Amino acid sequence: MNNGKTILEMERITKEFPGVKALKNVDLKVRAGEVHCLVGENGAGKSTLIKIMTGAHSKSSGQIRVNGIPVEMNGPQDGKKLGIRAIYQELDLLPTLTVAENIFVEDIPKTKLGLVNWSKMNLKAQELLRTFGVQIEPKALVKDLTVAEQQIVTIVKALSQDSKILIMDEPSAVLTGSELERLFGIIRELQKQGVGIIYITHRLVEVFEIGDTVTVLRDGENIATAKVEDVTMEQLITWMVGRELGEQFYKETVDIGDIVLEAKNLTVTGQVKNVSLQLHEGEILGIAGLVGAGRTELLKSIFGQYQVDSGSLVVFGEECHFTSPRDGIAKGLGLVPEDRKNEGAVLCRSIEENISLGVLVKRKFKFLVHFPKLFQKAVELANYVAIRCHSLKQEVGTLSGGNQQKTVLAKWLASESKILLLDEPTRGIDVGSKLEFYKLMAEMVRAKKSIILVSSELPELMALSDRILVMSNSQVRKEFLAGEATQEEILEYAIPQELKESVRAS
Amino acid sequence: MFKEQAQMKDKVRFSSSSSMLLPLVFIIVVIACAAVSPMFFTAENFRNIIVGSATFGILACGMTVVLVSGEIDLSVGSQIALTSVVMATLAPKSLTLAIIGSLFVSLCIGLINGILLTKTKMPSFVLTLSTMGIVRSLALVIANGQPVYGVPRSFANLSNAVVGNVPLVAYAMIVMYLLTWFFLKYTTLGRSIYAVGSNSESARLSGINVNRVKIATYAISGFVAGLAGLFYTSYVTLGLPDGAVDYETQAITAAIIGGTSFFGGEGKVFNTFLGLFIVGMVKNILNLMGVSPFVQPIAIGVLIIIAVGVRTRKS
Ligand SMILES: Nc1ncnc2c1ncn2[C@@H]1O[C@H](COP(=O)(O)OP(=O)(O)OP(=O)(O)O)[C@@H](O)[C@H]1O
Ligand SMILES: [Mg+2]
Repeated sequence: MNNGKTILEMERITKEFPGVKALKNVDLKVRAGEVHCLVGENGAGKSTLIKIMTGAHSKSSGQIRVNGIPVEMNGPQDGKKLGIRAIYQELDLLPTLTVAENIFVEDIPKTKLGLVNWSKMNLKAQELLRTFGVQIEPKALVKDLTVAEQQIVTIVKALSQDSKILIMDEPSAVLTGSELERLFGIIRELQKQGVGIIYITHRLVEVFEIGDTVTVLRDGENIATAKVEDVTMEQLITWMVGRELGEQFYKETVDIGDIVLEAKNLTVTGQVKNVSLQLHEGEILGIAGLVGAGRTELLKSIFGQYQVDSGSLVVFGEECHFTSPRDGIAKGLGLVPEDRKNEGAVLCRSIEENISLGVLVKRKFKFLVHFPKLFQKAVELANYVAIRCHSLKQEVGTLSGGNQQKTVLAKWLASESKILLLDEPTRGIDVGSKLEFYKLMAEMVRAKKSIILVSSELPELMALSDRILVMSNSQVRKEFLAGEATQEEILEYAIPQELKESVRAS
Repeated sequence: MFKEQAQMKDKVRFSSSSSMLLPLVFIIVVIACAAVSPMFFTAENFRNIIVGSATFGILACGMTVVLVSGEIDLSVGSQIALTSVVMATLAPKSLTLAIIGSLFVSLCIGLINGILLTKTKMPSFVLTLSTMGIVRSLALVIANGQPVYGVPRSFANLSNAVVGNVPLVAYAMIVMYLLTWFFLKYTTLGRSIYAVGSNSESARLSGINVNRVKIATYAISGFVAGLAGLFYTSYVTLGLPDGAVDYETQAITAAIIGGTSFFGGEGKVFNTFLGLFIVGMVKNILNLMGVSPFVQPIAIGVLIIIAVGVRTRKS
């Protein structure tokens, strides 16, 4: 499979943004029928590299050859003409348009008269979505879908047309279980057809599961390119981080105190069904489940973002009826949301302003803001979570995906919330920073804070949590103590009953 | 799975209920007006409403297209004034030349708007605020600040012309709306306008030439303003350099009452049509009831707040 001929060659690619050199003389070769994994820390330049490949960014210098012929690209149209297609890290969808239109936006099915053929478009979209095995209505608006569904739409969109090179920038970040399996199935299928695939991920296990070749970027440089069978996980990590990391997880045992938050039969119609849980001081409570299990919804209803229909919530011994996130924040809650682009960060403002927001909301009414003091706190926290940027005045929108995530995290640390609700906090964060983040969590629980952690990465959840609740179909199915359950046992409860039956039936 | 399906049903139900809202309001307004005044439900009165709304109505087609693209065009009112001056100035030489000339002028202004917008990347509100003043001033300079007489009788009569008891402008307006609907729904350019308005960076990454789409959008807006200018000229029978003031706001009002999003990517031209007539009927009934014209903007303002408020609260 590795013997396909080279279809894409990038030579000495350099890219400068104002203030940063994102890529320095990077070489990369992709062969037909190969899955080429691209890994590296946040801000290493992976997304920048692939955007140069597709023509979305212009390169500062270097050469690109497709099938041996040098090409110049002036925009994404040019990349498409050459059969280079990408699923970008930031979902590149059109929120107010339908699923079908999004899938076919590049090549709208037309009638003989050259007009948009809506019925054909919806039908073809339906077929494509079916091959992916998902129930998404082609006529639904994209903005009404969940993040995972949107990710599936971007994948289906990329597959809707033939491509010679297909680039996937962290497609697995929001997918779990069966969807991930299907994605891998599709990748193997494309591989057989001779498509060259570039696959970016922070879940390094995936490299070993699906990759043929792996390239490691660090600080905008190509550190190594190797056959996957020739490298080990430790080797990869050392290349990425530049030093040996040792442990991948970090957990301290702290004394668990009294109950700080208790939910009884919490119900939000259609979102959360009869959920009861207790959270203790200094505890990390993990919540496992598949996409759509209602984990995000549970966090949002605890936080006050969703109106609770029935059930009760007691925070620090006081019965609470939150009507908005403000109420939740006032009681010492903080939520790091799953959808950072829409709910977490203000993309067009600087890093320090974003982080400072966390402090601002907590202040009692004070008219004047003391900016130096405010920003000093931001500087400390930014260093703490190790945001990679050229200055804290940089707009969050120009940060790499993982660094945007760290900014959101720092914002909630700034707010000094006593109870943190973390929704997929390590999504898109590199291994080195993850470890830092785990240490940070340990420090927080040592400071008698409590955490509810939602994560789709089971190894992480199992390593960090004191207790794990497994959710499916908006309900809590099972509770495990730390170390009590294996991954398989947790999944057993996470997969909804109907799904299991339908699998058995087919 | 079951949950997903249930959610899906919720979504469909929700969207169908909100798309029924506007026709419902429309019907309620018709019934209410008819109940208030016996003079409302007469052919004569309907003709007044239609003729009175025709210019804004045509303008609102173009405005809907611009709003869907995520931009705004404040210069269209001034463009009407300029076209009417050009029309009236050229008409004594040749009517055909006058018509083609005035449409050409407004098309060019649209193109210039579009090119400036894509080159400077300034907000369209600011840009078209400037061109609004510039174009108005051009009209005043050409006409020397005076009304231009010179519109031939035959052309002026068009605005009163009736075919089968229905004013000619009504047909023209219906054709305009059908064309715009067809353009937005079934042409690639039309769909690209939605895509650009929805998220221009995503549209760019999907290979859409965003700048070209924006320039085309403003060209359309300019051309439509030219057409509206012709109707206006026929209606007032003059070239009026200081006329058609505020027409852009009327067009925007119709579009937003019709549910066109101010942030782009959403909007249906038929709903603009309903919005146009809701406003037209409210104004009309206030006239029939003898309410002072000074009070009318209050009614329209309240109408906008209610119409848009209900929608934004829901989502
Ligand atoms: N538009 C931009 N303007 C300025 N700097 C930018 C811009 N886009 C990216 N950068 C910078 O380029 C560097 C590389 O970013 P890139 O997005 O390629 O990282 P990445 O490897 O994809 O990281 P991640 O794993 O977090 O997605 C970062 O330092 C980032 O801040
Ligand atoms: Mg990236």
